[in-house]
Amino acid sequence: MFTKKPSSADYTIFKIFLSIVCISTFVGMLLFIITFVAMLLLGGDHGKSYPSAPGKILTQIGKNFSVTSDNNGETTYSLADETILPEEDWCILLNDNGNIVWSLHKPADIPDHYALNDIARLTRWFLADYPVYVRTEDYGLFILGLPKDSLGKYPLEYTMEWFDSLPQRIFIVFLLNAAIACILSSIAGSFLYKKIRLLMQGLAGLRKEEIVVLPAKGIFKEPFSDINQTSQILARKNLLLASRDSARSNWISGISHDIRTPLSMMVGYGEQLAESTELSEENRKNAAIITAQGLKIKKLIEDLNLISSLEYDMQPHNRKPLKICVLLRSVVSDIMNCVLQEGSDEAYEISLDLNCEQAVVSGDESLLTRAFYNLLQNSIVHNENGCHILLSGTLQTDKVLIEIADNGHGIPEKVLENLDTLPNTAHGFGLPMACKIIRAHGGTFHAENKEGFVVTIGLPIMID
Amino acid sequence: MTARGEAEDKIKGFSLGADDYIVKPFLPKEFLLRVTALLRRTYDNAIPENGFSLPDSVYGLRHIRFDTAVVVQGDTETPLTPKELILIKELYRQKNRIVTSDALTMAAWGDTSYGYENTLMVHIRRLRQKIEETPSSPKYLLTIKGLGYKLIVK
Repeated sequence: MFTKKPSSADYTIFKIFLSIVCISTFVGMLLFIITFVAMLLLGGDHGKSYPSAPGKILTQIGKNFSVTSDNNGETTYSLADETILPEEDWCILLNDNGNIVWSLHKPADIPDHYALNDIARLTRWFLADYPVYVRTEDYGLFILGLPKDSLGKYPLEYTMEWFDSLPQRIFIVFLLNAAIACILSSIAGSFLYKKIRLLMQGLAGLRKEEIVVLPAKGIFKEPFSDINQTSQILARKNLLLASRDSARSNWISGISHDIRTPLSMMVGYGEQLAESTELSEENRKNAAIITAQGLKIKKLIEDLNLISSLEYDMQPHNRKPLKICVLLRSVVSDIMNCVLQEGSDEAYEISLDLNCEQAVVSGDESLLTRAFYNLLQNSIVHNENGCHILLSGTLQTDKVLIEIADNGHGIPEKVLENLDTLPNTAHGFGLPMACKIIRAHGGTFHAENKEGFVVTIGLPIMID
Repeated sequence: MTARGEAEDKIKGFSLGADDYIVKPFLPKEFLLRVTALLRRTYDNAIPENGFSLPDSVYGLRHIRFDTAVVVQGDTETPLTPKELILIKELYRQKNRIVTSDALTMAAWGDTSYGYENTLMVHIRRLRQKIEETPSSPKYLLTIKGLGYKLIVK
């Protein structure tokens, strides 16, 4: 019943199985006890089917009976109220000699004289198939007869030993009952267990978006076939989604390929013109602008490609252990080397406060570089008049927190709201892309406008 | 040379035996730089950079020579230790750019452990004594706080 490798799902099903067994055993025991008590309470037939019990009738007769002797020595027997005796019953009175001295409703098939042996026989059992009861009075013996076949009489005789060992035997019966209830419910439960396990496996498969095929028969026919159908629907939808995604992705990369070729001509000739001595200063400047703008388009296309591949392909390919501080320093140097040209050095200031030298993250170096580069560049581009950027890193138990804060005038709230989505305009790829890259690395990305624009990034660190 | 810039395309290109990969559109300058870099890599010893010179108010010029590992000023020659030579070469390779301490320790010790920070500082100080006129206020080998160093060569 156990699989070789118990998973949490198996554990859950086992718990279900156990509780089924426990509950049904409990119910079985409860029923047993109720039956037992009921038997005790209802076991004796106190003659409820008769207007009054034989013993009571006899007592009544005894009370209402009068025996009178006259002077002649004749004895008269009489019952004051003959309605005491129900119509279907009969009653006789025997004197010491065994003769009937008084009778009421006496059937014809009973003898008139009784010897000692007859008395002994009828006392406990029947008289000519009539169930009889006796009552002794000073003046004789009453015999009350009930209709034939109206009553069964069985002797109940127990030894004292039987009474002494009764508690133990009750206990043993109880245990035996518990064991049988347990076994029976286990058998019934194991049937359910197998079915529920299949059901759980099916659900787990659905969660993992696998194709699930459960045997759609038996009592679980409907849920099983529902799960089967759901998994098929999921698979179909995933296929559709994947094909649409890859179509979009291919379309983007195809378009960018088509744009790049003419763009390279533009940029190439543009640069040639910008350096041509035959052109006037003005025209050379214009050519340089053409080149710069062409390069901007190139950058945008690259971003678009990267962001679309990140969108559908969330796992960075080239993960390796990276010292985050080394990476950050190199990004900042790059920014200072390239973006901040002479003259702007003073307007922009980047300071570092890294307290996470040991932090190693598993990541794609070029992607992470891109993300931090974008964030720093973002601060610079959005603050034309210069700003101070503080890059700080702190090490926590399982992650490293990196904060990039500038003291500029922040970014539009609209951009902040749409961090997760591809921007509609080419205005700001930088921030959503950085966000996507960080999230693809299992990190957290939080951006807000405080005194300037603040991005807080948490990246899980590798613990060795 | 191609317009296909995906990582897979690049990997494919390199696996086909390419030495470098350049995606359209590019600047002719970049292409030129890449080709020279490739040539330098290929013929590393064939076109050696023998050193550079820094202006010196007393001797006119101060020559830092990589082949003989010395700093020449007038008649005096100050030898450079192997580590100092590696560091100054690395700084010169990326002259006028910030070189992170990590890159420098990587070049000199083959490791980026932060523990080398102080050692690196000591070596840089010694280098300054050899190439700067007033080592206490350097003009050529600058410290970029929190990042690394920068060698200014006009």
